[in-house]
Amino acid sequence: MVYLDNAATSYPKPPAVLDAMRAAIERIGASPGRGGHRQAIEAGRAVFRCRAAVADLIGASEPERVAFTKNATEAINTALCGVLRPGDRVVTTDIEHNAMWRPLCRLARTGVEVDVVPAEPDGTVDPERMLRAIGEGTRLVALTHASNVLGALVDVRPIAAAAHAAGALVLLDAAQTLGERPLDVEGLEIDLLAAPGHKGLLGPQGTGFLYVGPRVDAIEPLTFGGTGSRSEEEQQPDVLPDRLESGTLNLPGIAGLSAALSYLAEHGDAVRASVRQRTAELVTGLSEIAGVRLLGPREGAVRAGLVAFTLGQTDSEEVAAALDQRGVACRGGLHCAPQAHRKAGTLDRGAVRLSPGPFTSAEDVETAIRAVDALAREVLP
Amino acid sequence: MTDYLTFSSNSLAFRAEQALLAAGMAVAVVPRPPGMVGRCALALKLPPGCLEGAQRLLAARRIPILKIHALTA
Repeated sequence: MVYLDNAATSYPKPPAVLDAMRAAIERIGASPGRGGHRQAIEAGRAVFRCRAAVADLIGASEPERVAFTKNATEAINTALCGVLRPGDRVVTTDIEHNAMWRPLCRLARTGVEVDVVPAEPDGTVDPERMLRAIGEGTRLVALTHASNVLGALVDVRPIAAAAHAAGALVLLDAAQTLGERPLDVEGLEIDLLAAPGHKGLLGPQGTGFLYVGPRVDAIEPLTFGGTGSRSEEEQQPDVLPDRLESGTLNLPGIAGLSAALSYLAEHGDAVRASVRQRTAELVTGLSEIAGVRLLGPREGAVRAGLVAFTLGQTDSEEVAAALDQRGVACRGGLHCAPQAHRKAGTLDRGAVRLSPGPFTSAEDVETAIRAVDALAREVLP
Repeated sequence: MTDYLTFSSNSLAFRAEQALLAAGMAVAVVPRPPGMVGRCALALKLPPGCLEGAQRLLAARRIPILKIHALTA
């Protein structure tokens, strides 16, 4: 089977990830931050190692500002619900994933003003349009780093500068880019960064994090409860990461993520180059097939490691199922991002998305392109 | 007497441990000292004569100390 669904979750994982998860269960086992026995201390140390590795990866000088979550969705929800209050204004785009869009719609019903800036048809976001929308009274600018359907990368720097000039914070959803693209939260002045551990970071499912920068003076937790600290107080601690990490953490997952980050620290350049190369090969190969319409930026443009397409008028789920029968695992449908499909004109039939990972070979890409080509000859007149 | 440091979060205790170990101090994260029930789970045990050096280094790294404890070992 050729696995080309890395934008949903990366597969396979580096072998060290499984080894680390097994070791966390077999040899550590204890609950991090709960108790002072040696196993608990080792569990806490394992969590800290991962926290520090995430901070290193994203250019954060204080690891405490990295709070673990179960995925990027939880991180985005924590950020949005944590900083926005009725009467606040948030600026976003019309290509956001439901992880961003649904909580924003929920917040809009509570009195948060949501101002949506249209992206370009290929998914690029014009910084000038964003700058015009960001004004006094904007509390937050919340946007994806790259649409999970269209793949176009957003130029964050001018948007962050404009947001800060207006006194607003910046939330970046890096679900489709972190690991594949370098991100420096302090250099780019990103205040809130949400990311999964199981996509480009190559960690296990059930891991993710939210970075909370120093401009964020107050953030309400999504979940309240035991933190292993300030236990005598009735209120949630105000210190990070404890404020946002109630309940027992996912030690096996975090240990696995730690191993994945070590792998990326050693092989990151090769990983990024390989994903870029395979993505370019997919774009080139698919664009040569009659009846295929590629979504997102034109060939040669900078994009995240995913390529979505339609095949004539065929339903994308049918195409994905047919490719599955031909040995290619990919995703059809709306990808939890109906806004991006509305933008691309594919809301009715969805699109098929091929997304390579660091272990995708050139032969894998050729196999996938041949399968799409064969299918196109079958289904198209 | 042995000096212990406590911090407002366990994460800070481990960060302090990492910083001081890197500076060559033989510190260790240990259970919290008496009198800190509920405040924190862990503490950092310092080798003899290292308190001032540890304080300086942690201040330079912007790692805030919650409390310094001098206890009979």
